[in-house]
Amino acid sequence: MNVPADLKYTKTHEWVKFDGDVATIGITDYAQSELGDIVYVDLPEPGRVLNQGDSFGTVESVKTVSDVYAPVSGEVAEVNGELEASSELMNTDPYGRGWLVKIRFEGTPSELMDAEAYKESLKG
Amino acid sequence: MKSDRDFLQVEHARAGDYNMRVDAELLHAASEGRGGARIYEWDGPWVSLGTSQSPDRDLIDPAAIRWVRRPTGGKAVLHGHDVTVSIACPLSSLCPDSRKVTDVYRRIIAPIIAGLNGAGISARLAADTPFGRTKGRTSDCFSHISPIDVVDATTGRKLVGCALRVTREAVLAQCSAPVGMPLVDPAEVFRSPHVPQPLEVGKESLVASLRRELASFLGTNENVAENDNPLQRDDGLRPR
Repeated sequence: MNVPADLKYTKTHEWVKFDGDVATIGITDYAQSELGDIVYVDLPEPGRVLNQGDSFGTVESVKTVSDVYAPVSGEVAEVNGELEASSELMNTDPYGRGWLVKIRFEGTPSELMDAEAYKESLKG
Repeated sequence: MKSDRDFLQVEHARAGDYNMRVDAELLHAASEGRGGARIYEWDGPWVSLGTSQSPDRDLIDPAAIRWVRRPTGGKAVLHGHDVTVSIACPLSSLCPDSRKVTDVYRRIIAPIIAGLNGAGISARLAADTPFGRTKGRTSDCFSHISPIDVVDATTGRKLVGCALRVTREAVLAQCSAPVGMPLVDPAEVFRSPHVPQPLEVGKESLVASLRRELASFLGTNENVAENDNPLQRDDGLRPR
């Protein structure tokens, strides 16, 4: 299972990449493999304000709609429009072109795991 | 799963928007730790669309039939000739990881399969049979078979249309089992529809069997009060 060392992770299998005050968010390789073929993604409009832990969208796979959760608090700055036509990018390139949203975050995000801790959590 | 707050309800035929609203409430209640199930019918022909479907794209004429959007995924289901079962459980009672959707699916569909078997129907998950995946371009749920569909173990015929909504806290399954011929011609609703094949079992015996299995699954009493919405009740008046 691919778990890049430079990212942070949540218990609900989202990844976060910090760049200044912007956090790019997606779902992990583990999550996409468990969800199966992703056929649809519903993402928020830019400008929506989220609290850490809020559901900010849904993904659909194998007849199942699953929520995705914000790992940080802040305002949605950008969404990945490419997923509207190509949701399979979340399966094929979860840490790259399959990213979901960028959030201009506020405060200090808590309860995020580093790569080693996330790998350990997958063993449980 | 066992909780004295869980409930099972058998209800009158109702309008689609009512049924979806109560199912959404069922998911909400499960998020707060109270599992439940409903067995219900529809007050005539309706289509339920999966969350990501569009009436303009997926129906021949959205003005020609009443339609409603489900909180779950999957493709469109024609109702009115079916028995629908909704089950909602706290996720922790099934599988702690919301991303393991196939595991969640297998566990929550188990009482449906057991209920069909108890009514004399040889039902299995497609993944547990020699019948593989079929994929079409149609919007009609019953035209597709996936490994997690419930099929006839002998013929591979799809028996139940089922879809899920999974949150961090809870899961909702909505399952439709056709027990009669459609009230409208599916060819007037969907492009390239399935050929209707109702279950070869009486509705009453199917409902009785589903009721037993769901009561066992939820750990509640199958002798439930009928025909009202348990979620509008005070907890002290729960239908047990």
